[in-house]
Amino acid sequence: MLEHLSKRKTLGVVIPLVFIFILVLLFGSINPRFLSIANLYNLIRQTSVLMIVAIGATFVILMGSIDLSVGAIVTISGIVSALFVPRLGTGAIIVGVAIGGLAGTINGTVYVYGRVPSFLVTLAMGPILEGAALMICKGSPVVIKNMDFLKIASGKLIGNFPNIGIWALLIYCFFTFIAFRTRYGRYVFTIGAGEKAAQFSGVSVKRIKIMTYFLSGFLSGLAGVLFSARCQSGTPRMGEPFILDSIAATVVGGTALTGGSGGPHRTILGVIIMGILSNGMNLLNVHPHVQIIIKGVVTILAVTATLDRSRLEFVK
Amino acid sequence: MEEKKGKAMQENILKAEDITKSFPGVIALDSVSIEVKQGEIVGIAGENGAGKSTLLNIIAGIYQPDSGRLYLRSEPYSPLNYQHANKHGVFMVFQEQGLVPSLYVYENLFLANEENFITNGVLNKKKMIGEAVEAMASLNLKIDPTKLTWNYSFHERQMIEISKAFTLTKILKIEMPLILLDEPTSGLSDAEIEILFNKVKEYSERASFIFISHRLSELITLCDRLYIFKDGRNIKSLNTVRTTEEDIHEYMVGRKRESKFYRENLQITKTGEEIFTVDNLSKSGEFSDVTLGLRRREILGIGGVVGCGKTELGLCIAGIEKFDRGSIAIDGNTIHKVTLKNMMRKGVGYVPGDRKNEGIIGYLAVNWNITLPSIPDIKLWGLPLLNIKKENDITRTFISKFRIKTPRITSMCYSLSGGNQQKVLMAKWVAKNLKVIILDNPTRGIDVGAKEEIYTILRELIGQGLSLILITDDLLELIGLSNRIIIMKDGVITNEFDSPPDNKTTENELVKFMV
Repeated sequence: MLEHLSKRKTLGVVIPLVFIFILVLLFGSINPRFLSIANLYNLIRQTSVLMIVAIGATFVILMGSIDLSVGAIVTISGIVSALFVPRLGTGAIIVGVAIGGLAGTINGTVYVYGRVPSFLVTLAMGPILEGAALMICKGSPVVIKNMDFLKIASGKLIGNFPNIGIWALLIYCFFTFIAFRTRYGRYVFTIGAGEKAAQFSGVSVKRIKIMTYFLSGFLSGLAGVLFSARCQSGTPRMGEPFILDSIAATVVGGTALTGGSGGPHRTILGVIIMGILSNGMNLLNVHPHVQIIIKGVVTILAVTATLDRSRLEFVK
Repeated sequence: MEEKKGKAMQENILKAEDITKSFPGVIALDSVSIEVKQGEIVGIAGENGAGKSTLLNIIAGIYQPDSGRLYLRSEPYSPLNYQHANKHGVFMVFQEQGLVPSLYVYENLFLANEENFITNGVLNKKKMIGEAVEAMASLNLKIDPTKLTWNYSFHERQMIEISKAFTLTKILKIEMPLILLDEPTSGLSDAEIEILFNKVKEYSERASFIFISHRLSELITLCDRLYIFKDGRNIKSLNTVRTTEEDIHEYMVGRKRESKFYRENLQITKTGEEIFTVDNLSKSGEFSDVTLGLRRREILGIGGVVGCGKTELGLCIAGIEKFDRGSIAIDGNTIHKVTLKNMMRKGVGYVPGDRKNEGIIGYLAVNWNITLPSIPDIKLWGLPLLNIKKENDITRTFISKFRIKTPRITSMCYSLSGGNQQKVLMAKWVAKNLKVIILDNPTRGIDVGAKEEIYTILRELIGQGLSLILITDDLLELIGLSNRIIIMKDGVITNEFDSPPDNKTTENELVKFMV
């Protein structure tokens, strides 16, 4: 595959790499602590949850749709699994993941069979799940004390490498394989690039769409479980930042919002950029509110750079 | 009819000189000149793709010509867009409707001309509605302008479109407008056509018209003069007084058919048993009681004017659209669930006519396009995994077999020429090892060289044992390629012709059953 990468595709990988290099140089020169191994592990801890959410978002965006409910799914899965930890221990993972998968399937079904635009379905699903999560935990964090459960994220199986990073890497590799080596993955690209022609070629467009929303929900659910294990509690609104960050990471990595081009293998670059930005700004003591503004600006710039407007008749 | 306008008609309202317009792969208009005199109703006749609509679109400012000059009321005229043309008194009734369904009827009537209804900076809706009511009444239309446009059926909207042209003429206070009617009668009932024609005749005191229709009798009844277009050229100007439909046929068709071009020497005369049977198929509003049988190693052609139902028939027998009644059988076995996937499984494929949207995917690579329908067949270790090596082998095979010119197998399809895209589209279905392929206009919009190659490919497919249903607007292609030809008109089969290589039917014979 690699020898055939076109110029545009090569640029799509080179630009994020150059950007990462500049950021590392910038933050490293201002604060040498940024370049320490300890901070590298810190960075991995901070970005792994986003990595998992963003992989799901990438599949949805590849298909030309969007999922704005990922934040709420992270929250509700985190809280509910935290509640189940005393009873099920590490088995609570399954509860969180199941809730995510179910929410995603509902998203997909309403979008496909109700013919409601995906952004609207998922935008509305957000507050529904957030509200449900608040009701379940009665507005206060659910603290986790079970060490076995906490270890799934904070433990270290391999040297000093955080477990949560292993999860992220496994998910990354597995879903890159899914995207490029399975029939399902190919159909996701096809629908994003030309839904009508896909339909005329015998692709079960509806089924693939629902599967993709299931996948996004499933991964957000897993992310929620891991995030609560990392934070030692399931907290209301804990997932909120992931809505923008997952889309930003996908687009910054080089998956076009128009659908059909890019892929989860690229998203890791976007996640690293978003991660370095937060991590670096934290070290430089940039006020958290200003950090949010900067992230928003970076997202807009990334979309401006990657959106291939020649493919759009109208920009809506 | 005899004393059509004794009044002065000497002055030209429109003069077009040497208008040429090409689209990628085709020359739509080749140095066409026409004249329209004041108060005249001029008709344009010609086959599908003869360039009639393109010329109207140029006069209306929607397309820009590549070369040539337009004069309106003896002044040079080069409209930048449709609104600009309106200001000069040129209006068009669009073949593909130009109304916004979600607006009120009166809003549609005055769309983009609202400045004529502004009182103290706000829109005077009362005045707009008043004008609209008057406009509807003057055409005897039972349409409430304060209702949303989507409440009205296709033919009612067509009438709204027509009244829009008349209304704008009035509110823009244009003395002698030129109104372009692009197939306004398709989809209208006889009563509505009569109202329309009376209105056009009444208005022709104060306006000039260019009228396009597939129905030749309409052209003769309504028009003062006729131009006949063929392959983008204006080949004849006729006075309608003593013209018959047969005369027009003669001019419209009569292109020389080169049997070599269509590889007629390769046509197989001994076709096999019936492999694909369509029995009494009906879809309301599209076609009814269509019965046909395709034999093994046969090309069965289906012809008819645009809108005769042949395209919808193709979509239904491919399983893409649903039909109301009737049945389809393959090798004598009735198919109970006619869906695209099921038909594909049974060995039937469909090459759509809209290459860009339904056929190939521009922003996917050539190899991904070609193998798309075959992915379920080429599993890896029996799992739904992609067999990339096999995919690329298939792609390479077809690139050389169909002579597809592409820099790499991973090049994006949009970067290929129309002809090569069409070959990719053909390869996509041939790669799937089917028994029957239904083709809708497989050579639309591609150049002559590419056409020839597609014809060769089609003959080769027959040689390999496939059977083809060829739905096409190109009569010569229909005659040259088909073993048998079915002609449809208004949704029903009007005749069937045998078309053996040594005794081909003529365009004239076919057209008689088309219009």
